[in-house]
Amino acid sequence: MSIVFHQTTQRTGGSDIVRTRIFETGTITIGRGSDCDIQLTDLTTSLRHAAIDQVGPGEIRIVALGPQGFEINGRLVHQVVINAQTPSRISFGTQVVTVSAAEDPADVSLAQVIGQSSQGAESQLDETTLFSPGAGIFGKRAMAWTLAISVLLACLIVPIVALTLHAHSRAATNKPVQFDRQWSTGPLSQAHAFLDKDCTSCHQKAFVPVQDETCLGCHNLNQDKVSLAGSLRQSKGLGSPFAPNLIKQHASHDRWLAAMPPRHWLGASLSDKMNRALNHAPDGCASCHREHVNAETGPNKPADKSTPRRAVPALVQTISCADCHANLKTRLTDTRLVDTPSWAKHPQFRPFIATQDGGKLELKRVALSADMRDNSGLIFSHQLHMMPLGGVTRMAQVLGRQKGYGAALTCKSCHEATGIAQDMRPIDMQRDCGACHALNYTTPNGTISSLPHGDPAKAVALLNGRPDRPSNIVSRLGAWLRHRPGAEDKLSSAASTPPIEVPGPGSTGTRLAFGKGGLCVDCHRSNQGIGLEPIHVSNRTLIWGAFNHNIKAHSQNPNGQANCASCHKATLSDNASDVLTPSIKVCANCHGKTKAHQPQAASGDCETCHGFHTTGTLRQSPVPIHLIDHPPGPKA
Amino acid sequence: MSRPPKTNVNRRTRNDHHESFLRHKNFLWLKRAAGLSLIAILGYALIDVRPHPNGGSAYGYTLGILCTGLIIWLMLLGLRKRAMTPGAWSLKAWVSAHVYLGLSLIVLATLHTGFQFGWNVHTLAYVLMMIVIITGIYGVIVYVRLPTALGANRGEVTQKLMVEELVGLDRQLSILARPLTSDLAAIVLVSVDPKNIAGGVWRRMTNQHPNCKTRAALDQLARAVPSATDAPILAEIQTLLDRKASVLKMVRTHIQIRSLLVAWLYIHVPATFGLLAALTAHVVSVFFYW
Repeated sequence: MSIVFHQTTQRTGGSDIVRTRIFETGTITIGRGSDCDIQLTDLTTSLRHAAIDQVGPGEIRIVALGPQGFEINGRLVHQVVINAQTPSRISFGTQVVTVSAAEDPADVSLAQVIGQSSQGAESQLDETTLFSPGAGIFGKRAMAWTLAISVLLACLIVPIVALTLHAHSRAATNKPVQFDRQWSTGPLSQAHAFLDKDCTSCHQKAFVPVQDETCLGCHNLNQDKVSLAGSLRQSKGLGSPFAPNLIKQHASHDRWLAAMPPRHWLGASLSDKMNRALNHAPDGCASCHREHVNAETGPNKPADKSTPRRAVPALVQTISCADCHANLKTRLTDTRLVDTPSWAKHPQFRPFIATQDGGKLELKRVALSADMRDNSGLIFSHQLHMMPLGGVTRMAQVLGRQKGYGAALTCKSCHEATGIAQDMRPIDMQRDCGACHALNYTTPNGTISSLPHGDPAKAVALLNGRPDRPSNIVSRLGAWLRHRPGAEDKLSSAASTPPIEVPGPGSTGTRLAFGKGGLCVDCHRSNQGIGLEPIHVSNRTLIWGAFNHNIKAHSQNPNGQANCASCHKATLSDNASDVLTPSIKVCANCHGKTKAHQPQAASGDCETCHGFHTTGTLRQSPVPIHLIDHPPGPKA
Repeated sequence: MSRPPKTNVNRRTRNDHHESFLRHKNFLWLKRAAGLSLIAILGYALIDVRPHPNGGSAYGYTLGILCTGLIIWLMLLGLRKRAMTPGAWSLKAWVSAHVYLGLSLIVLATLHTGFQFGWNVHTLAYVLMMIVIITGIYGVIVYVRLPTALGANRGEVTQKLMVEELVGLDRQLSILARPLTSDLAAIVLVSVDPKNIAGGVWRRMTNQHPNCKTRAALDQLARAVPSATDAPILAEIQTLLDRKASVLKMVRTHIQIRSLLVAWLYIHVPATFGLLAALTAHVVSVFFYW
């Protein structure tokens, strides 16, 4: 009965050294002290850590000699009896002694391995670990992958997946988290801010630029009423709090592109080629109207931090009016527009009047000239009515101030600015002329009645003693229209009426009214019988311009007095056929001049008078919804 | 008959004049990068992009394509540096171009943005790019300055020698301490902790070790009251601990300089890959919602 102790010292190059000692009897001590039978190198152990006795065949007892215990198979104990038939692992600090059966069943085998791990803590120093700057943190590669994958997921994959999942529904309510918001390059304007929640309302197809059809889905004016209502519904459905601004295309796209001059200089040519290559059409809505543009900032335009949005999309003028219109005929040979390279070379005005060219009377634009005649079918002398010492002035004095007169007539006595857009209020015969030119007559029973103006059929019926003739008078005075009283407020009907024919031989009264020397022919031309010439009056003479009578500089001189006469030579006109539209030279007295030359100098820009999308109206009309039906104009 | 002396035509001649990557070929790449930046600035000033200069204009696209190409080429340094070749496209030339063209990205990419920034993926790419560039600038500075400090600190001592010195000192301390009582042995045990040499990232970078266990062991040793038997051992241990403290000072300074030399790469490289991902998202998203 003995204890066999094997001590193996591992060497780096292999060939370990094994020393064997046999303890026959007595107690074996184990510890750090040099007097111990089995020596430990670990400084955490005691000098005399434990004692081992053999208590029976194949059995030993281990007893701790100090307060420090030891571990047997991972369990901390102070005393233990071990049967060597069951191999055990005893740890003293970091050093391990294994117990197992020896060849002789009565003996006990103890084994200790002294290797790299048991040489002491100092041997654990590793050069690579010690000097590696990355020790203790992530490796570069792991961090790179983590960051790259996170960014790709969060910024690209998740938004695309979310868009795909929601492709069937555009409703913003189905998008609790708007993953694609991070793709926005800048804020939408206040006009389109309601589209913030749904990028796909404009960006309808992936990798395809915003199409004109998308914009025109809400903004197209060239629609019938049904589709217009659909557009309004669509914009409302997208969340728009207001009606869309309706526009007309400046010209059809093929003619527009044909009219554009090629840009030859290198930078512009390269830029155009690149834009075409990147599918940015030069005639698209988005080529001029830019969204996602930050509000302008600067000393004069402080950005509103609460809403850093522009009021409307930024307007970028990619090409000037003169670029196309300077030599338009060279590129659009069939155009009827006159080339206009600049304001200084703007062609003379061509008022829209009734002209009798070759016997046929028609409404058309005619170049302004001294001998031109407007065949309106009316008889009127501005000179007579405005003569300060004339009979009309005397009449006005008699009528007195209480009836709005009292002195010589002025322009304002009949013509008044409407306050809407650029037009004057249309002349109303009964209001503006009726004070003197009363349509009164004496009925057969001796009472005084008044003929209705604008409804000859009813007037004839009254004069013939049939006051029950149905009336179809519809008196709706459109803000934009000047028309024969009582007619529909459409230019086509207002501008040209059929001749007024009195049926049958007519009564005496009828002859007195409509016949030669009658009441009506004071102002209307007689048709040589009992009847009147048709009326041809255009609602506006400069139909493609947007002259605004409401601008102070247009209606008043620097002293604040009305200065209609500076443009309209009405006091010299004794015939209604005189065209009182001023020459363009009158406009050029101020427009295009500098303040040094003219204190009332104004812009000579094309857009001062010609709206790009709404030619014939101001660029920004004060009318909130632009449902304006223009007269048919010349082909662009 | 005497033979002419044999000349070794293949013998390599050592060029003692060291030219740094910054001065490579008389600042060739600095001049090229500066020229590129000037042309870009000139173009930005001359081309009137409405309503604001932006990446979506023809000039903006040009700059964007140029920047993307540059970023990808700059990233290739990671591959190129693993294959050293001499000549015009030597690694030094490549690094020189990497540094100066990388710096020119500050100008090119900023002009590409049109100075418009926001909380979006596009600005994220820009910010990541600027992080990469700024850490790169730091890297250039430390590469120029720190190698001298590294040599001055360690002299002729190699890293291997440093480790061997420390391991040897610790072994001697362990052997010396074996006969000591547990209380006294514990003092030595404190100082031989290998984890206490360098510490974490912060300690490595700052070289501040307030909890140095060798210093603590020395302090405990000064306060110890040994027996007559232990006193000579403790005196020897103190000598060894003093020696270890001075070696530790050098090792820790060495570790600090080495950490500062490469720490920027732990931001530079991952941010570069983050940038590549953000750049991809930027390009794809711009054309996705064209």
